Amino acid sequence: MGNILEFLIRTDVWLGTIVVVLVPIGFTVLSNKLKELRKKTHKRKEQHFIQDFTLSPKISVNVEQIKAIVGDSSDIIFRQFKLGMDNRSCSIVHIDGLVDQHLLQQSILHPLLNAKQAKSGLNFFKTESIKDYLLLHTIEVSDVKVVKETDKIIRQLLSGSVLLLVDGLAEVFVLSVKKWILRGMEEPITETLVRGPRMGFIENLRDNTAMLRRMTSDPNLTFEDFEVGERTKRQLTVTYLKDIANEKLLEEVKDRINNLDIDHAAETGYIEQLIEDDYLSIFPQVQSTERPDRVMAAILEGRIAILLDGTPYALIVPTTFSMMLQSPEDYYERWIPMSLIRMLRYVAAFLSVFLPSFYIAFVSFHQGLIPTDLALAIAGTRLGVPFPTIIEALLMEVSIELLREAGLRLPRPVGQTVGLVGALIIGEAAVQAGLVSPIMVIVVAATAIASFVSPQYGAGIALRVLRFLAMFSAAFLGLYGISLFFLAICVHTVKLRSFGVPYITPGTLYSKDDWKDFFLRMPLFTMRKRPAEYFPKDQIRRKKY
Amino acid sequence: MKMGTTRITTMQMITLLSSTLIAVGIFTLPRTLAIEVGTPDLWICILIGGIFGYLSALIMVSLSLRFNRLTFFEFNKLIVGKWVGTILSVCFIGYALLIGSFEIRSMGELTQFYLLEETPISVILISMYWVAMYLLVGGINPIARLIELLTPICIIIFILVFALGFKVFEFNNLRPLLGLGAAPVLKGLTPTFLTFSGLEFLLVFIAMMQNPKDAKKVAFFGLAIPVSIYLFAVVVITGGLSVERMKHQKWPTFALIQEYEYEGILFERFESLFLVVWLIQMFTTYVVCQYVAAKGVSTLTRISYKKANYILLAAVYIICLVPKDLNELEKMGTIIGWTSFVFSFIVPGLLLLIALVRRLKQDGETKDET
Repeated sequence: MGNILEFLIRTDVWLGTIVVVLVPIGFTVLSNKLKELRKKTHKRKEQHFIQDFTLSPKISVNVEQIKAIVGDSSDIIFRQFKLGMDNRSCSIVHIDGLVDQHLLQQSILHPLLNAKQAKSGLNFFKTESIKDYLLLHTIEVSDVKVVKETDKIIRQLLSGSVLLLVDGLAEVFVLSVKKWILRGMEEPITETLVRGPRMGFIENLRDNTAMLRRMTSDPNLTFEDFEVGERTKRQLTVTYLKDIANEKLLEEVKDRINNLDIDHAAETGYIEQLIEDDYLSIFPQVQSTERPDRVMAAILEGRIAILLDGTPYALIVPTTFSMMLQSPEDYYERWIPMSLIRMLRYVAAFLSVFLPSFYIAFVSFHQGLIPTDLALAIAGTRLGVPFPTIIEALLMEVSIELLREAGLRLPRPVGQTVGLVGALIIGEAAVQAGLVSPIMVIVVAATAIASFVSPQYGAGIALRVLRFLAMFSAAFLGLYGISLFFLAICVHTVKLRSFGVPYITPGTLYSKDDWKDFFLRMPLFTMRKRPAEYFPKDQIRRKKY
Repeated sequence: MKMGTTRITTMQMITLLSSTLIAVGIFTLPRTLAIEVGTPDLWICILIGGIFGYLSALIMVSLSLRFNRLTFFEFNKLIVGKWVGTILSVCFIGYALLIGSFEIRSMGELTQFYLLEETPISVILISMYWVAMYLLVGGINPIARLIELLTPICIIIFILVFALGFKVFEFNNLRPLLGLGAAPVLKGLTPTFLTFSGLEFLLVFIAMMQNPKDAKKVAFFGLAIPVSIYLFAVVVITGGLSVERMKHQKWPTFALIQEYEYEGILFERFESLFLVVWLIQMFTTYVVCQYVAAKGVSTLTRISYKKANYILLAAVYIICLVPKDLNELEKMGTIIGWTSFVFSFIVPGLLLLIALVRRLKQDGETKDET
């Protein structure tokens, strides 16, 4: 009893208890506060950037109204003319540069100017029949809409449609003859493959959906449109196969997109950050890709793709960790080499996070753990190095990151030179000057190479950040610290979900069907079922083996 | 949003149970067994212990299945009344905390001895507690997933490290079989019970399973994995070191690994590597213990599960600092072993008997787990 009493008055015990309890509480409170920040909705009136007005039968009034809204921009063209043999005045409004001039001349202006009375004797130029006459006989454009809502009219005008106003009609013809400068289809530079289609998405949403449509004639392929950005109203398309994608998942995706609150989405990166589950996590919870074949493969698995106008990057949800280390090429080449390469990627991911920290742990804590000769060799090379290993490693790692960032921003030929020269000269000079040991340079170089293996840029950056955290934990607690850090990453990933799917699946989903495509890429004939992790409605990929 | 089930799947339950049972025992069991038994029949103790464990697991399973979707903390009140039930629950919570702190303290001692000699033990313990806390506040699903993820890795490393031990294996060290009769074997059963303590948590976890009907399967495989691991370890260690040397080694497992030396491979001392991996097993055992305790506290009182975790964290930290040295820690282990006997045989047996006599059977409401 005395012992216990004595124990209970020891201050270090109580101090430890307070520390051990208060720090997690602090962290929980902090993270809850941060998560609430995101959920907080700012109630505000729905903004109307376009003033409403009513269309009048008088054409001059309408033209004046439109002019008042779109202002005096130099690229907006108003062209007034008289309709054919009638003296009815018409007006065409369009934006220069967004319209196919040739088509406009040929299929709109020319027939309208030359419109003739039909032989039947009916007077088509009467106000009540003019609409039908124009639609049925005159306009030679297939995509024609007759619109009354003024904000829609203005939106259409600004996105490249031609407006045709006719005197006496309180409606506007919206003719689509859009054409603007586009980049040609190229192979995406961030996701190059040795074998596979040399196709990449471009900035135009319609072309992207067309690329997907070109890949399948499955009528279940569905494109569902949304408008995002309160001010800019960009078109966003959710793509899925209607008989495969799980309804709950689909509903969740649509729900999150409808709840987006942003005035302008410049890139799918905006969408990604606004719909992801945990913004405090370091791992990307949404996959982004420029490859149509990748999107197609994903939606065939029961996942959902999100395309946005104006960017070649499509998003795929849900995403799990194993996807970060997969490449479409895994499926295009034969299974034995690709399985080995995939395993190599897992090893590379592990090394790119933990290699420098192992070096730090072994050199500064556990010299006895490595073979004696190697320990002696390392100690020998470290003789003149004035810093502790953590500083040495940080020095090299930070300079490698600097080089990488500099090489990325510079014009391509210069960038390559900077990368090469920097790596060679700085490494060599640092060793010569005795700032770092040569083995450290090897470790850093191997880590850098390993980190380039990741087929996804987003995953690569996450691992780069984790590497620094691993180095610090190794510097404080050696191998034990690395083990704890590994555990902490595991804990984080098991807690993380991407659109309801645990981030670590199929690592925890012991279904032999999903393990076929995890560390290994088993031969195609074995993958008879779709991955169970996304709960697809149609599970069977093929009837027969 | 969550897709799929929020309950524990059968596979998760098997790994959860087995990794609760596999823990620091791999380091302590060989020595205590060698001292208690004294003959090379150590491995028989583990087999018998496993069979007894399975019997007690069967009792617990049939008890739990009578009260579908109710945990031990809920159904004991129905059987023995509010007061006795509460006392039982409190004892059970205390017992879970005791195992948890025992595991963490042993982990701390081992780490300090083999990896970080100059670091104060409180730093080692506290950093582990923080990582555990991060996992615990997420509830049972992340815990089950983590264990499911890491158990195979641990088992592979274990097999690798011990298979290398066959280099020094001598079959003669395992003979004679039952040379001194069966009496020494019986003496070895007590330390085996300590190793299998944690089996009682079935009383809580069966209620959270997706298919409680698989509980017998879970009990069988959940025990078979740890039993075969301990069996393998003890056979290899006895074969490699002989019983006499096992008695005098502080940690026979490490002594075995030190015995064989493979020079020139990347690592020279596999024992530290093994320890680093085995930390994960002790971590998971602790996490499961604390989960059970926190679940109990939140069932008994109005304290929420998360808050209960913080309170229990302080308790566990203080308890694990109580033993002054390894000897006292070992005594704590013996106490746990006996308590384990009480909770795995006597309490469930009596409860089942009363339930059978009073024909009690009740279903709990179906609710999602935290």
